Amino acid sequence: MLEKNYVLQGSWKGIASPFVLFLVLLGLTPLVFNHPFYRHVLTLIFLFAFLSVAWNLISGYGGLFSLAHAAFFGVGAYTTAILYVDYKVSPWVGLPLGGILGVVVASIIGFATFRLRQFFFVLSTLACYEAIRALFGYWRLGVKTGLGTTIPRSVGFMNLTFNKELPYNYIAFALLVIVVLVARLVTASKFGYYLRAIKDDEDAALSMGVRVPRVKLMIFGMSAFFTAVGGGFYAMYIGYIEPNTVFSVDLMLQYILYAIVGGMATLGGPVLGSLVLVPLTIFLQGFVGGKLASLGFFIYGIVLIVTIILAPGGMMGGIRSVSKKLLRGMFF
Amino acid sequence: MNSQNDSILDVQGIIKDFGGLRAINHVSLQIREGEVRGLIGPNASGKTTLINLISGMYKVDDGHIYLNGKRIDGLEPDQIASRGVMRTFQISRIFRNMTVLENVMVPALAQGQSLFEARRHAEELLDFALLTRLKDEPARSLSGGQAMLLQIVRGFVHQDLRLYLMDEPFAGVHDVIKGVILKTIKTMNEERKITFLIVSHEMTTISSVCHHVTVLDKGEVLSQGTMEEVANDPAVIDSYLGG
Amino acid sequence: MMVEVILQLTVSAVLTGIIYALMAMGLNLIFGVVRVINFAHGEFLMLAMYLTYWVSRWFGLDPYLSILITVPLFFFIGMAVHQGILRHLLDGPEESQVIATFGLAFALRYGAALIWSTDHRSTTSKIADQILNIGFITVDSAHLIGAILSGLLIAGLFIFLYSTYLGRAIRAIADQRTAAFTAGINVGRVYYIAIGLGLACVAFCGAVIIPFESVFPTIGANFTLLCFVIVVLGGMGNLWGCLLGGVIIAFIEMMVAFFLAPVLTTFAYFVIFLFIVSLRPAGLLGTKGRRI
Repeated sequence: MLEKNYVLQGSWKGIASPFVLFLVLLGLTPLVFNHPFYRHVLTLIFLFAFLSVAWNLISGYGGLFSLAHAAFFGVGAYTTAILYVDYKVSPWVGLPLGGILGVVVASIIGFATFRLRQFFFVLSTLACYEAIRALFGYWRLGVKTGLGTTIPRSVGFMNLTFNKELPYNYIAFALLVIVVLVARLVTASKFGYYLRAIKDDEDAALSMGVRVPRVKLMIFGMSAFFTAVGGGFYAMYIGYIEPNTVFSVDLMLQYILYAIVGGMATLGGPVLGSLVLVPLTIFLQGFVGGKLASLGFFIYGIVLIVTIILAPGGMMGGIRSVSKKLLRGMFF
Repeated sequence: MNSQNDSILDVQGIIKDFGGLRAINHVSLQIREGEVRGLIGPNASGKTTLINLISGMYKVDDGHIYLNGKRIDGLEPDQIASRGVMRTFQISRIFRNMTVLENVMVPALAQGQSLFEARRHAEELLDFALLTRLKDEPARSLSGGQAMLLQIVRGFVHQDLRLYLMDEPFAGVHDVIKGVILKTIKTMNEERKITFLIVSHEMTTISSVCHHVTVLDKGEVLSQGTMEEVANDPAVIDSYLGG
Repeated sequence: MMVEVILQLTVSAVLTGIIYALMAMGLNLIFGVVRVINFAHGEFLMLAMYLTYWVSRWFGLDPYLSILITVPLFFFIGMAVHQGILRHLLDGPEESQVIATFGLAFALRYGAALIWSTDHRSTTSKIADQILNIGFITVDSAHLIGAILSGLLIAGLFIFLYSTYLGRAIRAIADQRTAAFTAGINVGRVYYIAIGLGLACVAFCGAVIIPFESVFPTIGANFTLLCFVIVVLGGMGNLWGCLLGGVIIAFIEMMVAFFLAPVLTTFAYFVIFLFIVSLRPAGLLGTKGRRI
């Protein structure tokens, strides 16, 4: 009985306690690693895990692969930055406002495509992605650094600006915990049933009375909201933004990878993926430049193909099957 | 134009074209509440298309469909479902990665029931259909016949079900399960006064449960009436023998 | 003055549009029949262009003649890709196809960058170097020949799809997969053919484009989106729609590039796409059946 639930529920019945424990331990790591550089890495891990879980909401649980998230991230970053720099609005207000704006952008795509087959949604996010790449890649030609905005540093909690790394660690961690909680609540509720039904057979779900477009819109909106909030945090953390970094598809490609390799449609997958891959990426980025950037992307592509064909469940899938075998072993 | 009569389903002169092909050609039919209507006809006569049109999967190109006097053509499938119309598919479309119990809960939740109510109603139904021992199994592990039974049972969890559209519920199904399906239809029809429109090839099975039948051929209504009347209709005999 | 400009743009658009249509038709075949969303479509075009470039360099062939080598080769490459990758994804969630082909796109794009560096390469054909003047309209022969050749291949495709058994089998599957299956068509085998054909079209396109467009590893990205927008605009599975869509998109592209800024063309695709999808998702010539 336990085994069946654990395998089937797909969210976390069997892993509940270990996962909570894992999160708690994760939350304690900044206290263990004193060095600012390690703490910086930890902030990034938490931030990417946060973005990864957010992306997973629509792409993993919703089954709708989205490439539009770079747009939400950028919107969040700019909203928070502009409100803070030009209008002296506290980032704590700016973050959620940016989130709402992200939802607005998401709704444009959503309203247009959610009554149609999946393909249209995926295509429209591809179009969004390409449009962003073209529009903001143009600015990479060294011309418009004037569009970059430096965020004046004025230390204080209300300004989300700190001298030490630790507060950033914990804000990022708090964001992660929040998004994980939301994801858990969503998947365990009625809504979770709708999502799973839609993922299995959208037309059948529709025929059973599930309001498919509305469900998709809601999960997409949630995903966009959190991603935009992440963008806002990023802006305050880095202190400087310009179009081709915050709208960068590179960042998005990273947290997409972490979710896929970690295990889509699971709670722990994106977190695990980030935990393992963020340090690795930072380490490898030390070698970036010219040919090696191409190598990085080449490997990226290969990893995606291999993961999705051979191990579609990602790391979490692997852990599950190992645990399943262990559990079975325990009962005999 | 309005629905004049007191039928629960009133289809008036609908047309459906696919590219250059006319799949449904001026089809009209009325079903009274509480009826069990059979929909029969040769292959490719438009039976599934008609079901799809009524349930909202396809949109009519002309004509109207009324449910309880209100127009439903043009509505989306989920909107029609919320008005008390459920359907099954010719090839079972169950939610393969959800358990049998969860499958049955979906329409209940969509109708507005709470998780608790939905689970309770679902369990009752599974009990009635003798599927309880399978309730926590992933739906993909079911056999073809069991999947069809699950599909059928799933629709009944809707507490205000008025009209149930079934597309070939008996196709390729084991006799035992067929029996359960028939019993379910009869019971639900008697106790809850649910109206049925059942597409099937199997004459004997249909006659055992249907009051009246409508015969479709090449997208048109060929004949309507009781099984006997229809079986003796020369036009029907022609199409079945000639087709 | 404005009239002349617009006429010039229109002529260029028609020529380019026919070539785009051929590009998109490859996608239409694969997507319409096998129902796989191939995010790497543009990358195959990029590869075709590179292949044409190298074949014409090594054998000293005119790029148009190298078609004789590249097209059959790509036919088989198509089948190999199906065999190796696509086949495994058909029964799974649509998402897997997207992710796998997205990964494939990256692998091909940056694999090319690693092997051939990011230099732009191009080659010309003796006949493709001319500029023709018809009244005030200027046409370069590369585009003209490209359009003519593409048009011929498209016509050939039409004939194939409407008169031969295999062609009609392909159309049958595109329309109604289960019905085709019960009619005894070996769906699996036809998939291979359809994909092979689709990529053959791409190869042909590559040869036709390289005389006027240089190739570099990341050129594929734009093509993928372009083809999808054309396919959706014209109506999925509809070949006339492809042609119409190709010309319309080429026209819009030229107008945007000329009157606004070249960099905004991709943004224009996005906007157009949302428009089509909101107003008429079946496309201009597609059937409004929708689901199932």
